[in-house]
Amino acid sequence: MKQSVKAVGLAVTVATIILIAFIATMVYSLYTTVATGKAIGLGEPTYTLTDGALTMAIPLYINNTGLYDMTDINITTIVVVAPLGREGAGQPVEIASATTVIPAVRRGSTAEEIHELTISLTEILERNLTFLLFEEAEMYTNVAMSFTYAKAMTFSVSAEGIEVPWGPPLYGLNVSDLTVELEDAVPVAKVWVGFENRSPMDLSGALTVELRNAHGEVFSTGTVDLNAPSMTAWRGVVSIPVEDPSLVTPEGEVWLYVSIGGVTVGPIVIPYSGLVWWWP
Amino acid sequence: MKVREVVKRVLDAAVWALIMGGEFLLIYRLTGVAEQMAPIVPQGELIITSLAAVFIAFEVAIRLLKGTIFSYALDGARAIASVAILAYTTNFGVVDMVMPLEGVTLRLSINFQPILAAFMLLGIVSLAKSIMEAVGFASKKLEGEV
Repeated sequence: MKQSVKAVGLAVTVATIILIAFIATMVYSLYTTVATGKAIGLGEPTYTLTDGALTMAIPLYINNTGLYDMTDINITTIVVVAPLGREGAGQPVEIASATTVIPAVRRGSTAEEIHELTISLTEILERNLTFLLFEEAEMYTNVAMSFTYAKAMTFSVSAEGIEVPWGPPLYGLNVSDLTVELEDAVPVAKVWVGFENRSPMDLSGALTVELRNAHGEVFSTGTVDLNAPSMTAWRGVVSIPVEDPSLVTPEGEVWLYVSIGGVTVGPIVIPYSGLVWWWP
Repeated sequence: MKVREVVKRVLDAAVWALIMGGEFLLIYRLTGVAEQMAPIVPQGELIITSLAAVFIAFEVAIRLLKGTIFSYALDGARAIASVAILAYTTNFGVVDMVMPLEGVTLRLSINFQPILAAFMLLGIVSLAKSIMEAVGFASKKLEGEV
């Protein structure tokens, strides 16, 4: 009896020492891994606009310099925007979310993964969020990360409300100087269209202009190619023949359709007045 | 019991109380660790103080009642109480923290239920050991009386 009690006591003591040593090394290992400042890193994001979606690809790496494995790594980002109106920020709306899962990063190794965040332009149109294309907005990102360390402790870290600047691709879209001229005996309507591409992506697509008179009848329509690199202002003149000049009125509307990344936005209706006729 | 024996037991209890939790409480309080940890882990104060207090109180009682069956009963009770307090104060192995950082709310959650389970297992084994010791002590006493 005495011997067995002693054996159990010894086993408990040894097990307690091993457990405490395991916790101590685990905490120390995790601390030294995080203290390097290079445990988790993000690369330069790249933007692509295809199939009606803006994809932001963020390269991320996890460098496990510790003594134990990191497993079940899960990174989730949620993007929320609030329109900036004259009365301050509006109701926030979730526009995108993405999750990246890395099964394991063994000790002494590095894992690299691409975290892809996709903002669907189709969804923006369907959910009546077209202000994102034309106006500045407050964008926030909520980031959540979880991982299991040494298969014993699970850490979950989440940060809410990280401010991210949002640049609208068609900021300040406007038309000006609408004229109708005779070119080679053909009446041609000319309209200047301008905007600023404040987004981080290059825009390429088409701009369709529809001119409507005061009665809502279309008197001229045409399309031009659109090519606006990131963070540049685009201004171009659209020249389109007028089939029936009798339909032209001094007041009316310009209907704009912008086709980018496989999605057509529009009509964006801008009224015009004071149309100038240039007859030689 | 002689006065000398009582003094010896009290001193023995004081030394063991210092070893079994007192020194940890002194380091925690006097080195400023408590102040540093308070904003990060608000419940850390409660966990460490209550665990150390339980260990010290049980150790003093065990040392004072050495040579009686109560010391074994208290040893078993300490194993159960320490595990119960650890489980209760750590929200059964899931600790949540909120840290405001430059306008961003940072939430940290640590789930260490496997480690808590290991401590619970050790507590149960310690309890079993105490019961075995108590049974051994009682049988010896009975044998002595017979």
